[in-house]
Amino acid sequence: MKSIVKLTVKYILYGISLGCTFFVIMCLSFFIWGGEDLLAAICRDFARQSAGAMAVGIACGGTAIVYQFDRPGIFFKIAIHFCVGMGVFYPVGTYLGWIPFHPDRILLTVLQFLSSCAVFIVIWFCFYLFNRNEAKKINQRLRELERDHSANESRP
Amino acid sequence: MKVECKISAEYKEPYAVLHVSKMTETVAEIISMLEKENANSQTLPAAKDRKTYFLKPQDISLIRAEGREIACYDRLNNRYLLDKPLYELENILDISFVRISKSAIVNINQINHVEASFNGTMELVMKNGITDYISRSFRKSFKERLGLE
Repeated sequence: MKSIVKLTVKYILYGISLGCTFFVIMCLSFFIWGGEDLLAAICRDFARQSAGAMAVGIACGGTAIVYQFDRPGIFFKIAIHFCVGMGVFYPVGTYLGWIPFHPDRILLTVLQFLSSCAVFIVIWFCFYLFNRNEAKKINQRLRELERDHSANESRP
Repeated sequence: MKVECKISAEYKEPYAVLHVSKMTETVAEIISMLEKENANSQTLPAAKDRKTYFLKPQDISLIRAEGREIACYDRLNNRYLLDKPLYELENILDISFVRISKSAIVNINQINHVEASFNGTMELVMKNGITDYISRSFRKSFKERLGLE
């Protein structure tokens, strides 16, 4: 029980740091590439904007805690991660003005939602590429160990 | 460290004596490794079809908790049941076994390959075709055991 609490706190802090990092990178890019009006708008509403970034960070990064548990099944875990992440990101994003929201223009709203999903998929794909590279290194090492093992076994 | 190894038929079982001035982490690791080396020659009692078999650790592919049972799969994918908990088996088995999640231990020499999955976990495929997942919390120790960290 103690370890679960410790793990939960760790993932919440991880989510907060992820949200804050993205928030700072976005502010920095506005500052560098001339979005000073946007930056000024963020500064005027700093408390809500930063709290929103942290909440999205926890929802997207912190919910990765589900992969630490053996149950439920892997597809259910992905569904939890995706639904919680999107379920927080989209409403917070529209509420804080990160994503323009036009309830009268359904097609535009659907397109915005789909593009948000695409952002998620791109992030997931980046993690996948990282893991694929790790798997490649592990497989290479396994082949080396296998060669050593068979060499030892054939030694008289 | 100066190492002396005597090979003779008079030694029925390997026997090691370490001469050290104090106990260090390395010495403790060596002792643990030597003790586990001895475990490699031992067998594990396993049940299958109401019969008891004695499995050699090198023939074991994967051990995992399946519900309330501790299942053990050998090279030929035969399923046996063990009566010891995983944490105890982890201590008994030699260094070619590694924990990959809270519920599974695998024999490194029986791993065919690992595959990356989209959710950040890694799927492990054994030579006998059985698959399992390396959970994130055990990935570091798994890589350390392979000498990758």
